[in-house]
Amino acid sequence: MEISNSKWPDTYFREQRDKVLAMWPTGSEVELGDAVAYHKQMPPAKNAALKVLKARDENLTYLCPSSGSDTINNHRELLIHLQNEGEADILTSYIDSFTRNCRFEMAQEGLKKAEASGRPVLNGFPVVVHGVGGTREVINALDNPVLLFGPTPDARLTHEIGLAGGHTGYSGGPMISFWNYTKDVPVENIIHNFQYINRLMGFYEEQGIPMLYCVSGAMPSISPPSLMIVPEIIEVLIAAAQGVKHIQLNNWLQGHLAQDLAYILTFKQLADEYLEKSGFSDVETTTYSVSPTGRFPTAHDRVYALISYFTMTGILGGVQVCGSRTIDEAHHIPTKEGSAHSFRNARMFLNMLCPQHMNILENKDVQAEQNIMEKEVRAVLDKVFELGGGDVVKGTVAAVDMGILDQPYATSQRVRGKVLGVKDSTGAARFYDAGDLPFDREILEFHEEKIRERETALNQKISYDTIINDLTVISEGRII
Amino acid sequence: MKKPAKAVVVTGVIGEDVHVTGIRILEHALRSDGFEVHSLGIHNTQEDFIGKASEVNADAILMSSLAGHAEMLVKGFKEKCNRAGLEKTRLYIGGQLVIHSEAWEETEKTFLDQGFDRVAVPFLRPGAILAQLNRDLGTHAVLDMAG
Repeated sequence: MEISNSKWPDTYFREQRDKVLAMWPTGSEVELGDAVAYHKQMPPAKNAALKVLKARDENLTYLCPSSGSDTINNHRELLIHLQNEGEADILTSYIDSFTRNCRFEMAQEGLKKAEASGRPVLNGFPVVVHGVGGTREVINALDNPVLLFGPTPDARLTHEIGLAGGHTGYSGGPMISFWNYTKDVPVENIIHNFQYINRLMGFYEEQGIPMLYCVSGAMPSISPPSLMIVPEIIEVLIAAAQGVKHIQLNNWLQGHLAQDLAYILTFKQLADEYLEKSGFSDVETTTYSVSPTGRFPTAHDRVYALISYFTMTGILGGVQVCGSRTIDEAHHIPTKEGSAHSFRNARMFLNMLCPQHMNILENKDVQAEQNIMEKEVRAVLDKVFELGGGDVVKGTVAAVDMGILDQPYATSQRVRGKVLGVKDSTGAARFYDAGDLPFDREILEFHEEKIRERETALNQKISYDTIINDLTVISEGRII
Repeated sequence: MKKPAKAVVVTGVIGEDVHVTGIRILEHALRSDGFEVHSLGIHNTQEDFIGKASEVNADAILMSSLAGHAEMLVKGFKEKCNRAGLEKTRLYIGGQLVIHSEAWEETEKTFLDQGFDRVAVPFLRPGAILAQLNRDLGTHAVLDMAG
């Protein structure tokens, strides 16, 4: 079947499911009728999509850590601790990297070692090896919704088992998986795998079970936000075409307040607009913010300040869900205690600020950022549609090949890698090199001007050294 | 017409290592300075480097390793290069090459003894690497590097 952004025919989906469910013995445990019945008996408060809609309607912000452990016991204890001690509203099952790469036999081996030793061995929850029953043992012990979590080129079986096991959504997406989690997999293959996941979620929606699909576009590295928003909107449109009805828009906060707030506003506005234009007007979108992975300070006091700062940005941006880094992750995989401390810190901040409903979104710095960001997103997205003759998937395949869709520091060899970001004199991310992005003079001159201002402030030309310093400067305790 | 490149280099990360930021910045700097860069990205074997270098007739191979297993990963690399007819291809390595802490001179000697022409000290900046490469290959710097 030639790849396009059309809804999969039922016969094609059934054929694909037969193959996917045969990838590991637990695939045979999945029975969709039983899965739907299981979801229907769960209280609505355990459904992530319904919970974030409630937040949107009531102007609330919820907190959501990303975490996962290997054995049923370890994972259940971790999530109960985050729910009860960390006051987290939405929980996640972060999937281990063996499972994310479909190396289920390795995940099984690691799980056996963890069970024998009583110590964690895997870096996440191996949902496929645990199967539907094992997964439900975790979900049944909790009061809050749980999402599957973690980008990967092939999470098809993870979704079959994870959703049947009681998860009510997923965070990840084809574009971020392509740029940042593969070396040599064609983007069309990854999109195909995500169309499967999205069609499966669409099936649950058709049965009256809302599923929350959280797009994340690309991992930022001093990236002007259009570099994330464009692939995120592509992920949104791919999902909507397969019947996904509840989409959470992930905003990657890099620390520059006006630019981060403009990201939240621009992304929501344009995602809704492109959904409407593409005929998907019944899709509900909500927003989420988190600071990206990347080097973090090692001192706890500094990290607490950053957690507070990024939580504040999310609340001012009006997001429904805030994620957060944790105090100990510069040292090791976060502990449940470290995560709970971090989220209680975020909670205190949230409790102070959230009820104020302060509106700083009409601030002129925010609006100036919005203005340029919107032009950048439209320039690239409209070119993608043009290349695909109106089909966003076909356009994406062509645009990646031509460098119209590009990323800095991608792990994939199939990415042009010409674009590069640098901070301006205020700490906002600008294009040092816009590569082959289809930008007009106005956009390019805006970035050139910002770079000249930084050079004036530095009293020297921006060099690769400047870029390297910019990548790590927050870990040293400053935005610039 | 595109100008012919002043020299041809092959870049990549050896071994089960996903650290990509350093080599991506270096690749960008090399291209800006007029080199023809053949990037292998992450997860490469010795044979991947040799195959690409033979195919493009590389003047230099720039190898990166950040996971600390480099000594095991590059064992016999120079001999294999020679056998493949790459005697004249200059070999560069950099990153976090060892796990244990030792004097830099010892680490450098280990890799010089393995047949590398230059061993980059950790945190060496792209400007210094370009300058060294231009000196070694007798090529002229194009970029005006502050660093």
